[in-house]
Amino acid sequence: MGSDRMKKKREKNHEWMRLLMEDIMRLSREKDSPLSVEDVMEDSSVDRQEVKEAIERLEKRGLAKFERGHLALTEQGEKVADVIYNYHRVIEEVLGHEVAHALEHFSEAAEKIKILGEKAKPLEKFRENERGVVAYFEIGNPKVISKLLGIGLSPGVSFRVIKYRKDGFVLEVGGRLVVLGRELGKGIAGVSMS
Amino acid sequence: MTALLVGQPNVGKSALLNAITGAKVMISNYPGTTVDVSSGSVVIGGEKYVFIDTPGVYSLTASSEEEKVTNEMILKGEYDFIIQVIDATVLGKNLILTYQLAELGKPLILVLNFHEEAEKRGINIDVVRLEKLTGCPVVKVNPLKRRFEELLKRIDKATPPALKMTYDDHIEAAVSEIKKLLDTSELSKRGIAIKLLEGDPVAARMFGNDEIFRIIGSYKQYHPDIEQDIMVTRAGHAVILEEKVVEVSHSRKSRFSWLDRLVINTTLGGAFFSLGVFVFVFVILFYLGGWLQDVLGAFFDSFLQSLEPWLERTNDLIGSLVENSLIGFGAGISIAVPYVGIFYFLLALMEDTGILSRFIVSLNNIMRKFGVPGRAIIPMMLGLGCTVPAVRATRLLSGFKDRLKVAALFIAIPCSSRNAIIFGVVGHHAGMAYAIGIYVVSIMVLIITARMLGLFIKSKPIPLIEELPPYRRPVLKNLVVKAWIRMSDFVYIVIPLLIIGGMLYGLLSHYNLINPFVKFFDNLTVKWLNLPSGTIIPIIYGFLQKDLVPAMLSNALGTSDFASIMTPHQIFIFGLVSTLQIPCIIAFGMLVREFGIRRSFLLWILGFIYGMFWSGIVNKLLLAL
Repeated sequence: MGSDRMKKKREKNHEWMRLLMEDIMRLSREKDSPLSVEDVMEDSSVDRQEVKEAIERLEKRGLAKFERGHLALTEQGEKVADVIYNYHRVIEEVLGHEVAHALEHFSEAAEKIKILGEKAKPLEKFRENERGVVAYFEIGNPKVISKLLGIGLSPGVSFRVIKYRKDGFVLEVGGRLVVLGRELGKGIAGVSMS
Repeated sequence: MTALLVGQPNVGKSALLNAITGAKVMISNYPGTTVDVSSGSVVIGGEKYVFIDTPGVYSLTASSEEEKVTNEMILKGEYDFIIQVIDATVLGKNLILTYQLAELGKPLILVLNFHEEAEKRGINIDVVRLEKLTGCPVVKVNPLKRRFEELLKRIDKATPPALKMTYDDHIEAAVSEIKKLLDTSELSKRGIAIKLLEGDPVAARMFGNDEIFRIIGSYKQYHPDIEQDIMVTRAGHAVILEEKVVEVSHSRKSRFSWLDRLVINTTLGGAFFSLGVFVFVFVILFYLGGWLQDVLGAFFDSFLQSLEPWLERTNDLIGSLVENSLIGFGAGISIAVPYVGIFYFLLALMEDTGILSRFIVSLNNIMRKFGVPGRAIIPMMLGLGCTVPAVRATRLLSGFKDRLKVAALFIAIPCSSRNAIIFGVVGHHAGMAYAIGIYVVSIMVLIITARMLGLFIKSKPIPLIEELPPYRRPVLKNLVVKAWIRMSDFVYIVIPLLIIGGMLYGLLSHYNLINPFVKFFDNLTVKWLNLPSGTIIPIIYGFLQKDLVPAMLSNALGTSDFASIMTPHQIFIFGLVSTLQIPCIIAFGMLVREFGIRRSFLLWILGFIYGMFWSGIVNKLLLAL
């Protein structure tokens, strides 16, 4: 979800973040036991906030898990870390392009995630009569998400855009008509099936 | 044994309750709130079963007041088992709720309604498999055809569901930490921990403590999307479970009715549809309501006449109090009940047939221009009948700010008593053109006010998410029960208020407390509104009860031929000032109940100044022309 402010900040720090993530993975591989936030702060001489941000990114990409104050690499994370550890040159490529791009070599699941990430588009980009499958929500308010799930629009469910209205969209979901306000056009991402 | 009936909106919970328990449905307020809950009891196999209906919810994540009630009733755990009513045509999304209930660990029976309709559409549910996977009894019912024997036969077989699901590691870690700090025996600790983690306000109030909030806070730091993750995971499991038990035999390609194509897909169709519904509702309210009002009014008049000899013999003050409280009671029965009762019946009819959500959707665009959600049309329409239940009906909106906004708009929505002034005083004595003029000014003021309120009350409305249920044939008995549930609080709250209002009026008239006001308000009446000085009396009485205005005007002027004393322009302004007013004292009482004394008082004072302001502006403008 994340606010716009955070997103901008992240983009600005993209390069720097990449290096920090790389450091964390390398350190984790070197130490061979769960890392604490303090370990990273000391090793890379960075502040707590930056470490948290990097960890969050690693978790989002399924490379690491942060539990009870300690960071452990996931199976995929281990593999990536191996690559980082052994072939420094490859890293540029691995984390330079979308990480998911590199991960396709490692697991089938990552392939699916990649397809979703690349092919999903916001609801407002769907044409009338176009079919799609809900991929994910970018909506801040949990009440709205719960209502969307309640009317049957959950990730993985297929829908069809019936009609564009001035104030929203008419969708077909599970054989029922559902009307959504225009504001939701950006918050629901789907993969086209047409 | 006590059973809660739980389910999504429009799945037929109340119909099932009515069918099982017969007409013996009790309506009561849920303690601490004013959401109505109906219940009924029946003896099955020598054991007494009490069934409690809960407001329909899409999930247990509370957003509106009604959903909070359902949530609280479930979390309190003061029942033996839950009966979840499921719409078989859309099993998957109903199963989300099933998973949520399963987490809480109470015994459950799943009831499939509308299964014939589902079969007709080629949706075949493997009931045996569903029963095996959920671990609790699954029975089919059809309350409309009064078929629910299987439910009665297996009513004692409720079992805690065997549905299990695991969330992401970080969620599970948080759940196990929170679980240790919980102290409850009624419900599963895991289920409550998950609800707390989801940020559920009801669960937080009932089970939360600082330590738990600290844990949740520390997890949210790294996983800000934890609520969404939980909900999406659960929905995913529901979809998978649906796929395991549902087989779609012929293509699920649904054919939408020509009506939907027209109403939802074309602007013009939507406009015609909403206009049609409006006309339908108002013609019925006008003719049927008017006729009922005449009948009931005549009955009360003759009743009062018969009391006349007794009233003359008693003490003046007591006589005046008794007489006026009876007038208040009579007004409640003969004016409010016909309009409000019929309106609620029509509302239930629109709801049960599926017309209501289409109506809300087609008006959404216009209502958005007013800065309020589409649903606000219901209280606003009701406001044309009586402001008192309309204030209460603002509960249908989920945001408090939206509710307050709509309540403030009632200044410019003439209720039936104000309509009576417009027709009876202005239309009759100054001409129909003037009466129509008042409506035109009201609509203009309504639009301007709504726009201005939008600047002051900033609300971020929840976006429109409206499901269009299939058209269904309504059942008369269910409509009557529904209308009565909604009307009951009107009868129990408003009618006493009307009686008190009448007595207050009797007191004031007995001690002649009105005259001192007259001089005080001269600046307003004579200089700003250019009305005869005495007209302030009916205006002041209008605060108590709008129905008294015409009678008091003839008192004040000394004649019922208003046109002989006031010019048509003055009559028009008088009508305008009586229309653009804060509603009567009874409506004020309802505002206090719903929004608190401070806000209501502010609304009242501002409304008075505001109405005077507009009436004066229109007055001066017309005089200048």
